Amino acid sequence: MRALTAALLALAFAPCVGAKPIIPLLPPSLTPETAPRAAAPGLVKRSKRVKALHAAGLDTDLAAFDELDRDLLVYAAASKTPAELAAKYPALDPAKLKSLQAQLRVAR
Amino acid sequence: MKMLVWGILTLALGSVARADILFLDVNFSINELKVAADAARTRGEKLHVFPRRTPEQERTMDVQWRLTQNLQQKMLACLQLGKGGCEKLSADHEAASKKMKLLAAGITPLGAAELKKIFAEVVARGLPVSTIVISGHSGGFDYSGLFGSFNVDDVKSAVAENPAVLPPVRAVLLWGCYSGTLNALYNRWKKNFPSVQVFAGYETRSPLGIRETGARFLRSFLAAEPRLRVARTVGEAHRIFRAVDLVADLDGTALVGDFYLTYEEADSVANMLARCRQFPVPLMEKYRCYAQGEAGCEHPPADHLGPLRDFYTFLQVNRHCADLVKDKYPDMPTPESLIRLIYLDNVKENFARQHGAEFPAYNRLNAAVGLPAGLNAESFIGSTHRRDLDLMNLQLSLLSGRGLRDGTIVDDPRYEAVVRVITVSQSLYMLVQALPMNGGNEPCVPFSWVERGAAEPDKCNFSLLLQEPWPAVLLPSINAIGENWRLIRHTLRVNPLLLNTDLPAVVPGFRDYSVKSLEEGLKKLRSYPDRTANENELIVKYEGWLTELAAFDDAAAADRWVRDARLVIAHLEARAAELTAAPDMEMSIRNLNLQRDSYLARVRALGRPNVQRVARLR
Repeated sequence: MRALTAALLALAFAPCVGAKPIIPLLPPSLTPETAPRAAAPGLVKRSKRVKALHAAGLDTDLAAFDELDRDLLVYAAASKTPAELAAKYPALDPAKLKSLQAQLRVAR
Repeated sequence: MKMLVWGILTLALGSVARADILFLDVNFSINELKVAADAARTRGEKLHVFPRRTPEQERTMDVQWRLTQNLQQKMLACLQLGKGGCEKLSADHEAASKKMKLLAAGITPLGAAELKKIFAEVVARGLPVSTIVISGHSGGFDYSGLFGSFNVDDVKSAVAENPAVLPPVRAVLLWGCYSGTLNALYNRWKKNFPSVQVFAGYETRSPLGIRETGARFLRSFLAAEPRLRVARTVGEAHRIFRAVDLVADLDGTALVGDFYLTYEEADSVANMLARCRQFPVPLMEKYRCYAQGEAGCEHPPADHLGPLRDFYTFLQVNRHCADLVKDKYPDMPTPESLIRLIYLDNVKENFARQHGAEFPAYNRLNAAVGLPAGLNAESFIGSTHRRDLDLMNLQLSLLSGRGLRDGTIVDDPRYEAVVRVITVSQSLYMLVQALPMNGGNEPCVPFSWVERGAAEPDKCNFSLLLQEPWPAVLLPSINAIGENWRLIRHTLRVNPLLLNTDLPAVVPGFRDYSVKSLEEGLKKLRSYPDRTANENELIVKYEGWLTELAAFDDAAAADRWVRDARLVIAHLEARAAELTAAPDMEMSIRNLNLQRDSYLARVRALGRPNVQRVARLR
């Protein structure tokens, strides 16, 4: 799929074989908003995630969670309210979830 | 076994009576310099900073640097208001930046030759350098910034010329992006400098040198490093390392002896490399199968389980392999990318919900260039990945027939609409493919879209691109594409050999060269006493091309391009200024600056003198 997109872009960049891209079709920086973006929670880096889950005392509770489950839990903790998080993960101790949220709020 | 190896290793770690820190500051990392000075005092060592500057120079640069940052922030605030009137701030900021560069110009930059001189001086003065800190922009092996650039091979050459510099060195701290991958630390540094006991760096992007976090990490690591070297077991070393300030948050890593340490694990390099050799080829093949929507992999499973998920686990647990196997598997996804493919159904649902109201505008655009209704936006909703690919293929094939290949598209009255369709489609494809990034480091499909009902908007520009009229910020792009095609058409007709030139930068040069080569060709052809029919045809053709070239208003094209480029430059600078307020944006800012510099260089090349010169030629 990406190769196909690349092909389309290559076509637009350089409609002739052998021509090198001259000007980006749409410079990635040309986005409309100028306001600084709030740091939207994304996929938390594994080191930080491991540290946060460990500090929240969740290691044992998450034995059945795979990497992706853990990433989604940490994302939810970073983006939801304590009540929403507790509702999404009813099997986990709300106090530990709250602690997890506190860990993730630690500024870089 | 781990314990035994560790024991042998640590027995070999001797201590030296005197020790100093050598700081190679490639990008004026003033905060890091300050903590290194503190650490040196605490450790009873001396700090030697290169490139050398007087305290007065450093103070002046510090003041100027802070002023530049301050103006940048004010300019940003002004731009945010969107009410204009930011010209003075912009000019002040530009002047401050120039002054900063002028101040830096008074400093001897770091480079291959300078490194040799520095190491020679270290040897000549008998400085017992035990720790080397290198700080600057980095891609893993190279370091660059305000004060020059060099790479690991340059360091190797400098050491080779001054071998006495190396024996006292116990630690090399690499404070730059991607400097701490296993590949960088082990293959590039440890193998070149096997006697050095500790290497450390960042596994991913590092914070900007202006931020406190990088300095905090450095301060803490410098304090921990002596204990790290005398740890009795791997476990003890790992405990010390995990306690380093911000080590998890910043993805700090260390190579201590033959053990690689990240926050979450410590293992021998041999084991970690073995894990990469066991790369799960079947999972990679399955990923390719789903990514390409091949038979049996038409769409990622609805339950989000299966081999894609298994591959995700491998990539996360073995992220140190990414840098090591990328040559063999260049299409290997990142976890950020793979998770969006796994949840492609949710991503597409969010796309349809957030952008459904704009579909009619997209469809009108499609219709304007004669694309079939089957390629309308709705066709991508609820379809399989395979079906999306088929639609993309169809669109690609139809657009290819619109004169894109030979540049004749610019003669088509619908060419602007075609440009728009291509540009909007680029955005649509990123959305329906769930691509995490928009070109470079800009976010496109947000991570939150892996869940249904996401409220966060994407950054793929789909809405922006559908606006009528086309927003001013995009005009430089669309105009540039037009100029590009126009020039390509002429290039194809006149001299295909010129296809590899950077045409917008050399519009006048392009014309001059073409005219000259055609005239020379004509002269030669006309000199033949017995011309063949083909040669006569060629003469007519050359004359026609010359007429066409004379009619091409390259001065006006250059003017238009310069005008547009200035808009782009202003936007890039504003965007870079904006990103300084966000964390982890060092690479983005660097890319923006590179783009800006490229535009600036071409603007200079197309400046008024050149344009006027071409006008006179005509």
